[in-house]
Amino acid sequence: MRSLKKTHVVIGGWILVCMMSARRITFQYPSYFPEPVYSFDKNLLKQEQIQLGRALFYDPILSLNDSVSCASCHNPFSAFAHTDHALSHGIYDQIGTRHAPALFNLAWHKSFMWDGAVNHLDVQALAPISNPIEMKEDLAHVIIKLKGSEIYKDLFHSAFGDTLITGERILKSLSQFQLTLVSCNSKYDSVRMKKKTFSDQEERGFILFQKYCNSCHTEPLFSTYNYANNGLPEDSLLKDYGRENVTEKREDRHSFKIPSLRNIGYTYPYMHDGRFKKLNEVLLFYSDKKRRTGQEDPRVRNIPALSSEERFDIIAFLQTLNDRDFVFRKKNQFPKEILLRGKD
Amino acid sequence: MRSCFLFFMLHSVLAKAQINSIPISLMWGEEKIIPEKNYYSKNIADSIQISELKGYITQLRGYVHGKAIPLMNSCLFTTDSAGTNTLTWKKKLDVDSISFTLGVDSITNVSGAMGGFLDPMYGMYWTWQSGYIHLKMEGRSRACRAPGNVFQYHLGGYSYPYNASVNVTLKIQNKNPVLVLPLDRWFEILSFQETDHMMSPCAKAVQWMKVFSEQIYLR
Repeated sequence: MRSLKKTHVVIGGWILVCMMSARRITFQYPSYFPEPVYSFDKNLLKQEQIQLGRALFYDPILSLNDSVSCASCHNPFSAFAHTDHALSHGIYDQIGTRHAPALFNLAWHKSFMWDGAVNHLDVQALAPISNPIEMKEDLAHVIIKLKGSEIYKDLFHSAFGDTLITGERILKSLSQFQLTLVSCNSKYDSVRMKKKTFSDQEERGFILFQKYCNSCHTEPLFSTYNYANNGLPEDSLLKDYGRENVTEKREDRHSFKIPSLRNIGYTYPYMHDGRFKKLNEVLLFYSDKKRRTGQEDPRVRNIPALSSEERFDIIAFLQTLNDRDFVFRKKNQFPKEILLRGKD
Repeated sequence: MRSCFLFFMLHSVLAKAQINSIPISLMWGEEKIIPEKNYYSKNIADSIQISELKGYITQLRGYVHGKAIPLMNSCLFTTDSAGTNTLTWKKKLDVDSISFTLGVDSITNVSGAMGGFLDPMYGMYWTWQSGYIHLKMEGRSRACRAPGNVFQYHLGGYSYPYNASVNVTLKIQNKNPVLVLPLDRWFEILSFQETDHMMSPCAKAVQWMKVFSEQIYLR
């Protein structure tokens, strides 16, 4: 009898450990990536919470009239960017003032939005949810709507062990899903891990990239995620001062967050206002001083006039940063098994 | 006999407070604030209606024999039932004085989504630019020339030079202290002519928060 009781305890404990282990997810990334900036200890990754975040990300319930979801501007097939639109549009087809940035490798970002107005991933979603041009909703009202949904009662229960719906839980779940959007399987990564080699043109482009682009678009994330003025003339209608809007420092005028160049083939158009449709336009801009304001960062000022061969070599290299596996990864896509449950 | 009586009286007066709560009173003069009720302000020379008043008291500490003891992390005081208008902690203590932050400290402001009363669902978080609103006051007055005569003051800011949260220390004078936030005195300081709305971190928010905090008292 004593040994049976002890066995029950051991088995019960083992099952509990397995359950806990099955729910927890370890954040994984290549060894050559730096340490993430995000503090996972305050938001431990759990499979059920990731699924909740994924459902919320794709659900237009976050918008006032249930028409706009996060995925409306952050499409998985565009590496979670908004292709074909220079300026993103939101509820009632209102057009915004900037191009929605691609979402991947967010655990390495120190701040969010083109001007760094948001200081933590967990609170970033508040901005588009409440923006009258984007989703025009209120977090308290989102909670009321979610409480009326049987699907979300189940999702919250799976994620947290109860059906309590709070702003904190919504935001941290959205973070968890977005944190899992890690892009690290491009041809560049395969070359880095010595599984593949560049073509001659890609190799020439890589050398030029390292010489002229790497100081801002630093490997392996292909951005420092800092702010810089690249000499882009201000759009006379948008009058976007960029980082100065946040810091109120004149020297930050027209500085914007340096975007990652990963998945660049999927994330056109380019720049904070999407004014360049093609990569060649971007490189023409960088290689021609007359197109710039003269106020640019010295690192940009030092870029010489690139020949057409050099520009195409760089573009060939940049295309090796596309991560097809990331873009077509099923577990990142619309969760029809959750959101379309019972709607066959 | 008289000496016993005097000793008893002195002991009662000097006896420290054994407390585990302090109510918060949002007052206009001697009256508790009721939303949408008219209150007269001498400074503004007109009446004022408060439609919304919310604010944070965080990092409450009690001092017992000079030693600081953490009592309560955060509290959202409000004129409606959404928040809580009592500072509470578990164990009754002989508290000589208390200190707290009026507003939310900088570290919490950069720590992402918080729960409890710091949950952004309470409408006290700037969504367009990270940061808590330390104190929100909205209402109406004919003296306010903004559209609809509506004034809106969202006092926030956590990073230099616009860190508007303020530390407050108050001595406990009696056994049943009440923390009083005197809105009538706050309205003696601000001026609709100068500004009828505030929605961003700024020097004025820092100045007002400092002056407001100096008006708070324990009775």
